[in-house]
Amino acid sequence: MMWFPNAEVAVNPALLVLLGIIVGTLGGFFGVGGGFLITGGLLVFGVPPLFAVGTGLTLVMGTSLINTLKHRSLGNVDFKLGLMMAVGSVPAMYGAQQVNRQLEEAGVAGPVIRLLYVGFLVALGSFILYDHWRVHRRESRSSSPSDQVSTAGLAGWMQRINIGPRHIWLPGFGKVPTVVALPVSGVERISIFVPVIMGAAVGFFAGILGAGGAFILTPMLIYLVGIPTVVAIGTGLFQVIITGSVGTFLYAFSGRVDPTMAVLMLAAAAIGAQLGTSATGVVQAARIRFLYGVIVLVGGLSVGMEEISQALEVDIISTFASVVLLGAGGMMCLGIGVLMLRAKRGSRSTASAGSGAPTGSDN
Amino acid sequence: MNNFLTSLSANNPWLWAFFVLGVTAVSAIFLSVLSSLMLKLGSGIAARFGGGKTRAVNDDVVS
Repeated sequence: MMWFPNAEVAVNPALLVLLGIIVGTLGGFFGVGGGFLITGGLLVFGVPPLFAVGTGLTLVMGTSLINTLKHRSLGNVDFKLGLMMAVGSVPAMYGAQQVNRQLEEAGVAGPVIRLLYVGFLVALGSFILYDHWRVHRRESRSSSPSDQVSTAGLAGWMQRINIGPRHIWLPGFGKVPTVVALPVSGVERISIFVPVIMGAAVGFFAGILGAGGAFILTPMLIYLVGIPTVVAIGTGLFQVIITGSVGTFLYAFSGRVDPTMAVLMLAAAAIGAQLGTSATGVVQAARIRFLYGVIVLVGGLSVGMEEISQALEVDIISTFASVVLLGAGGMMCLGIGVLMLRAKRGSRSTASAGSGAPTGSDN
Repeated sequence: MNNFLTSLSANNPWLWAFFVLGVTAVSAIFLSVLSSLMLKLGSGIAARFGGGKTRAVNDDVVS
């Protein structure tokens, strides 16, 4: 057991390393910070709740930084899009904090946040799996397989939509157009107000739920704007650096972060991040989306059990919920490892056969 | 070290918040570079020792 002075708790470091590897792998593969996984895990390990959230956010920020750097080297981060979204997300997070404070004063913050979490995760996970099923059925009917999502029409409309004036005046920049191209994302034109509004929506939800927000943002970028899956993952992670930094600062300011614990898990997460980000280059985008839908649904189930535990005041259900979530995360990491090995073996045999066509994600 | 962390956290919240943010960011960048280098080193070793085997297998197929 190792003693952590700020959280004033002794935890087995091997468990923290294991949690760090799981979070790093899933973060790099799905483009999420993994806040819901970390907080649940730390609570099971006996870390006090406020320290679990604060230290979790610190790890989310650090892991996202590692994963963003790795995705940047693979050309998967659209910084222009990320910065436009940050314009909306940072003030919205502040607004969400005010709403949270009012909910806390009314004494309903806990149940409202958990119910919102359950509803959102279950709806999102179900939609992603439904989309996967629809695309799969369409592909089996037509002879030409495509990796497009079922909302491609909506995404095209979002890119064409015009909001507000054609030009705005910015101090230091002068008159700038409000319609821009995003070459990294393969978007020829989009109104800057679309990512700003999306960023605000994500920032508000993330602020209410106390999370980085990438689990909302990445699917939004894929299904609403039509951003390729791997670029959405990289850009979502970049966004979490910004929101995670704000959250880390606020929690550290109130003395609810144990940096020793965070850095120990971060070292393990760096190893997992290498596996997760490398896997996005060889595993098909449709498969990444399917697995993402599964882990989001398990997350929803886990938070639902947590709510039941609180309502019935039975602690064992809460522990069971965290164990289910951690178990699913561990299984998912093993699955990612297997998928990566299979994809690499497949591409090696293809190369030795002479065609040399790589297996990879294309949307 | 433990005393330093607990006293900084208790006495100067602003400095403490920036310290936590800075330590996390610097650690993340350092670990990212280190793990990338380790991966490259591993790939290099695998290519050096595994590559020979692959060529030998292919040669067998051709012959």
